[in-house]
Amino acid sequence: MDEDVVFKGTREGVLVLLNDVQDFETLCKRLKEKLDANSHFFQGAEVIVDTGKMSLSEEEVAELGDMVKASCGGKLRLRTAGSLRRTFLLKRTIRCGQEVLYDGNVVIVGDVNPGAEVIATGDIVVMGKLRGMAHAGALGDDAAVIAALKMEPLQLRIGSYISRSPDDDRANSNGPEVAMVKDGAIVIEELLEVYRNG
Amino acid sequence: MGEVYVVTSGKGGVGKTTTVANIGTALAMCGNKVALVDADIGLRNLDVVMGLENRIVYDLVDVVEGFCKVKHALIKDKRVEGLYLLPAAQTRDKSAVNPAQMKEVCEQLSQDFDFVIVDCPAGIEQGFRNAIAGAEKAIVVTTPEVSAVRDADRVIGLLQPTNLYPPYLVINRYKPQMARRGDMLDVSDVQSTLALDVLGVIPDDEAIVVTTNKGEPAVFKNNSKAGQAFRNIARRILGEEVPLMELEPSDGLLGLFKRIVGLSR
Repeated sequence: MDEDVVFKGTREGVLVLLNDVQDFETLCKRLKEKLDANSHFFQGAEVIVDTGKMSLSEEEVAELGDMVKASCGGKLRLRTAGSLRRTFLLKRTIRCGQEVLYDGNVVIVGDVNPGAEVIATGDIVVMGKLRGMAHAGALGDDAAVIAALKMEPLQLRIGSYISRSPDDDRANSNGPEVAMVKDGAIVIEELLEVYRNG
Repeated sequence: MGEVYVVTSGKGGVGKTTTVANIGTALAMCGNKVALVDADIGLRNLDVVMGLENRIVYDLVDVVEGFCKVKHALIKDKRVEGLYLLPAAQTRDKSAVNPAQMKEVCEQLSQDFDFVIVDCPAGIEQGFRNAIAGAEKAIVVTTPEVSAVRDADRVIGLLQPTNLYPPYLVINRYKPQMARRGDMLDVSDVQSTLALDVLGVIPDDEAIVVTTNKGEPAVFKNNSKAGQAFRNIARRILGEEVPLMELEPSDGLLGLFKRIVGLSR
């Protein structure tokens, strides 16, 4: 239970690690308890909260900030792999020569045609055919994924990894698939398979 | 006020000029007043395909530079009543005209004609921007080849923020036998990639080469399948419901026999 919220003193300030598997409400409660119990320790310090891969809404970030301020008067700084990731919904076909650039997740309801590029700092979901290039986690997040109903891309990039379609006989996809980085390479798995394995 | 169409493709050599000549002629044969505008300045072809090359006195650049009025540059077709051509200049290049001037010319023409059809040059640079400037509707021509479809997709993307979206799609030089064998993209492949309604499918037809070289559009030939397909497109533009032509080749006696015994697909 104590492991939900962990404190660490660093040169920059006090680092608070939140267990990203836990839900936000529980984490808030635990954090508040800990902050209140050790308020002298935090007095005036910069509090760096690491939320791991958890995605927080703007309200949730504000809530954390308020809590830190109320407990010890310190300032909140967020460090996170997944926080503040907004999602952009695009309802059209992305055509050759067109580029979608977004700081966050991108969901496309339509096709991504050959010669088109979708680049997002978060995840990419294509509710259609992905036949162009997609780059998820473009700022270096190797944990990002790319999902498509039909995965026939010219090239996939996730974080710092890159892979291209095979030269021989284009592999045709049959159903929804998800691309992710596993053991240092981009792999594509069936969506159902990914679900089953959690 | 007539309607201004632009015929474009991105890629060169897919049949823009042939499409303009044939659809324009077919519309005129149905009793409409039609003006064809060649916007391919420096590489004009439409006059050759129409067989009107020897009649050119003034051209599009003369009109925008004020040397003559539009009606003086228009060439009357030698076969069909109501069909006119505004030729491009051959000695200049695309920078001789800007989009605003092109728009002005199209507006003037649309006052006197039922249909104005602009033949767009290949590419997506100034020539393309000029050609689409005055248009109200667009027709994108492609062939069932991956590179042509790719360029068509690019052009459709460029049309997206304009009033020309969604354009009509014409699939040219279609070979049903190859498509059936899976050696060529078929109509549904092209359609699903480009996500547009198909205005017409033109079968590959040797008559096009012959008629183009003679300066005589294929729509005059009753026995040409391509000519028939172009006539159908004209009727669709006029609002008629015309089903897509049956392009499956007849299999002959052997095919009939195979079908009867259930060997054929």
